Amino acid sequence: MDKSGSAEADATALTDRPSLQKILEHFKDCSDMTRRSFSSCGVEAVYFTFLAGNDELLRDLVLPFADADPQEAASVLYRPPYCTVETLGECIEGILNGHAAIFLEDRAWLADVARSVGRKIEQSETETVIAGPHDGFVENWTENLAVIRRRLKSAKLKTVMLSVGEVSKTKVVLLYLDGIANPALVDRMTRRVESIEIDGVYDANMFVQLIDENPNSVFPQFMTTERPDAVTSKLLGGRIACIVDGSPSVFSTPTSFFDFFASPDDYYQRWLLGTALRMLRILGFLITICFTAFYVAITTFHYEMIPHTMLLNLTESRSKVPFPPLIEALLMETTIELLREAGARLPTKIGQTIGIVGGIVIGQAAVQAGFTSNILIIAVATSAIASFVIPSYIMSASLRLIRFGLIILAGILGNLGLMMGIALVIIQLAGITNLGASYLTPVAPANLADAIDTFVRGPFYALRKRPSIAQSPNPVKVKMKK
Amino acid sequence: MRSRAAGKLSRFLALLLALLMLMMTGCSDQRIIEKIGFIRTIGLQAAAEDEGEEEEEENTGKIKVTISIPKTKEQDVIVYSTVSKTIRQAIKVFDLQNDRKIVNGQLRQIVFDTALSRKGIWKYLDTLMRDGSVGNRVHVVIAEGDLNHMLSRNFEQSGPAGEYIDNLLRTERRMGDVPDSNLYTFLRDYKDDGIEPSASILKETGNSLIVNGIALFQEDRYVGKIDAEEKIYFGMLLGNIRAGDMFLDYPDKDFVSEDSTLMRFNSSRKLKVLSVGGGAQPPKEKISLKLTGTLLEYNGGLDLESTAERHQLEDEIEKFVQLKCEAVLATMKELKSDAIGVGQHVRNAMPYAAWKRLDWPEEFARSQIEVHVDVHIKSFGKLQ
Repeated sequence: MDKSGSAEADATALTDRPSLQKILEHFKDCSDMTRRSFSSCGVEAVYFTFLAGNDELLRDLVLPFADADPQEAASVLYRPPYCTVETLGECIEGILNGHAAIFLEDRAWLADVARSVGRKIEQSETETVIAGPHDGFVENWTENLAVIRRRLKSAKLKTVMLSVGEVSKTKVVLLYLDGIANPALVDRMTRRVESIEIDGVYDANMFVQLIDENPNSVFPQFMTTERPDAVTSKLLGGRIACIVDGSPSVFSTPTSFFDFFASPDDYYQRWLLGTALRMLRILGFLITICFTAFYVAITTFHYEMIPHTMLLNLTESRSKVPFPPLIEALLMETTIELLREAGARLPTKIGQTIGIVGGIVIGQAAVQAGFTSNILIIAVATSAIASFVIPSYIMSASLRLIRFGLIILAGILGNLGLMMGIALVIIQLAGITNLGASYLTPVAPANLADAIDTFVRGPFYALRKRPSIAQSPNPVKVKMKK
Repeated sequence: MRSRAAGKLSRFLALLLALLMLMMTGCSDQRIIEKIGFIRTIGLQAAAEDEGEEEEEENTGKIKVTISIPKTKEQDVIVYSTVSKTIRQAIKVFDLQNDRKIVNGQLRQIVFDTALSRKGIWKYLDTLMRDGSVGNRVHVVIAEGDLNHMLSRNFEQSGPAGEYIDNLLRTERRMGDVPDSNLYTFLRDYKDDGIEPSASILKETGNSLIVNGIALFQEDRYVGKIDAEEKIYFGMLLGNIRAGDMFLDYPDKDFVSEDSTLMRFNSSRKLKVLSVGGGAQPPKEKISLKLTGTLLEYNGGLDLESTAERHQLEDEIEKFVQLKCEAVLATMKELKSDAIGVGQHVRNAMPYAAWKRLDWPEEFARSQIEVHVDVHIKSFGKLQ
C-alpha cells in the first residue's frame, strides 16, 4: 500500500499523548467540529456537531461541567461514562465515532454523545416472507448486532470487531457461536478481513467481493441476507456471520450454491409444503436459465421435438417474424431486462405505469406487429417470472445473465450448444470454493444428510445434523426422538 | 515477461478461434421452423404402367410417391405426387417445387397401397429407419383403394387425411384391440425369428376412413388380412387387451342366446408349447385366454341374475370366442403368416441349431394349436 509522507507522519504521532492542540491541528478545516470551553472549571470539549445528540450533550457535558469548579469536574471525569484515553489515535477514533473528547489539564477523556441515527427496524424490501418474523436489518451495525443478540441469548455468541477501509474505517463485526463454529474457519475469516486494503467499503454486497475466492465468477459466493432469522439459523448451523456497518445486508459463510435457493419461509411451513417450495424453486432455476434457450434451439434446429399440433401454431406465429429465432429471443429478453431495470430504478408509483405499458407493448403489440411469436412471449415471460422465485436477488440477477449466454449457444449449436452451456455452468460451479468449502455441497462432495435439508426440507426430526459445509466440531443439533 | 505476454496473446487467439468455430458451425444445418415444410404422410403406390410421360417399360419397378405437407392453417395440406425409384429421389423432385425445404422429422404415417405391399415394403421402411430424424412411432398402414384420392381428401372428422389417420389409429390402439403397427414394431417383428409383422388396413368410405382389418405379412410381403370384425380375436391371440369391447353375435343353432356385448374386458394370453414336433409330427401348442369384463347388452333366453345361468352364458361366450379364435388361426395358417408369435415360443423350446433348420412358416401352417378360453363376467350392469 502506498502511503504519502504526511500519512506516515500522522502514524508516528498517533501514539503520542492526546492534547487539545494536537486534536485541533488534526481536525484542521473541519468546520463542523465544535469546541466548547467551560470557563468555571477549565474543561475543554471537542466533538463533531452533527454526530452528537442534544440530549446526550446536555447529560454528559453541559449539566456536569457548566457550573462546576475544577475539583468537582475532575471527580466527575473519573466516573463512568467518561473513560480516559492515553493515545492520540484512540482519541481521534473516538471523535470520528461521535464521541466528545474532554480535556482537563493534561489529561483526556472520551464521552459517548453520539446520537442514534438511521431508520428504524422495518420489513426487508428484498426478502419478504408471508409467515415468520417481519423485521429486517438496518444500516446501523449496533442495531443489527442487538437484533441478533436478542435472538441468541448466549454467552457463546462471540464477536470480533474489525475495521476496514483506510479512510472510511467501516466497522466489520464477525459473529460466531463458540463451540459450534469451526475455530479454524473463524481465524481464516478474520485474517482475510484484516488483509483487505482499500479506501472504503459501502455495503456488505461490495465487501464480500473483496474477500471472494473467485472474483471473476458470475455467481455470488457469500450468502447475504436482510433477515435476522436467516442469520440466526446460519449461526446455529455453525457458520460465521458478518455485519458491515452502513449495510442492511449481513452475510454468512461458508456458503453453498443451494443456500441461495432456501428461504426462511421453508422452515415456517409444514415440511411437505416446504419441500414442495424447494422443488418449485429448483424447477424455477432450470426454467429461468434454459427455457428461452430451449425455444431457440428447437425452433432453429430441432423441429422434430415439437408436438405436431403445436408446431402448426408455432409455424404460423413465427412466419410473420422477419428475424431468426436467436435474434428474436435476444430482442425480447433485452426488452424484458430493460423493463425490469427501469422498474427497479423508478419510484414505485411510476414503476407501476412502466409495468402496464410494458405489459401491453410486450404482451400484445409485439406479436400483432409481427415482431415476435406469441410462444416466445410465453417463454420469455415464464423465465422472467421463474427468475423471481429465487429468494436471493443477487443470485437471480446472475442467473439472468447466464441465460443470455445459453440463448446464444442454443442459437448457434442447438441442443448441443444448450448442453455445452449447461456443462460450462456446472464446471464453473464445481470450481468455486467459499472459505475452502466446495460451492456444490451437498452434490459434490455428496452428502445425504445435507441433501435432505437442501433439495427437500425434511421434517425437523430428520434434520439432526448441522450442515457439513460448516465443519462444526459439534454437529448434532436435534436430539429429540421422532 | 515477454513469454507471458506471448502466452496471453496465444490464449486470446485460441479463444477467438474457438469462438469463430462456434459461430460458424451450425449455421448451414439450421432448420428454422417457418422455413421448412415437414412431411406428415408418405404414400407409396406401385407405379401404374401407363402413368408418367416416360415410356411404359421405364415405369416397371418404380413407385409413385405421394407426400402431404400440412400448411400452417390446420385444415390445409399440400399434396405432391411423382413417379420415382425411391422416396429420396421423389423428395428431391418435390424440393424443386416447394418454397420450403422438405424435411422428414414430423412424419406421422407411411401408407402403402395393396399392390406395392404385396411386392414387399422393407426397402422403403429401411430408407426411413436410417434417417435419424424419423421417429419410431411412425405408423405403417396398408390402404385399400385409391391412395392418392385418400391422401388429398379433407375429412369431416379431423380435416386432412394425415391427421385423421394419426388420431384414428391412436384411438383404436388405446382400445387395445388393434396391435400397434409402427416403424418400431414392424422392424422388431420383421427382424425377429418366429413372428411376422402385422399392420392396420384402412379403407375409404363415404365420409370417413375405416379400419378394415389387420394385414398379415410373410417377411415384408403383404399376403392377406384378418377382417375388421375379427381383429379383436386377433388382438387376444397376440397379447393382452386392457379395455376392449366385444360384440358377440351367436349363430342360432348351438346357442341359447341371440347376441350380447362384453364391455371393457381385459384379456390375458398364455402360450404353451406342448410339442415342438419334428419329422411327420406337427408342433402342438396351447393358447389359454382369460377374459374378464362387464356384460352390458344381452338378448337371449338366460336369466343373468341366476348364478347358474350366468355360468352357462360364460360357457357360451367361451365357446363362441374359441370358435372365432380358431377361425383366425386357420386364416393365418393358411397364409403361413405367424403374426402372433407362436414361433417365438417354439424357438425357445428347442435348440437354436434345430430352430435354424426348421422352416417355421411351413411348420406353423401344419401345427395344431388348441385354444382354451376362460370367461368371467364381473358384472352385468345396473339394471336387475
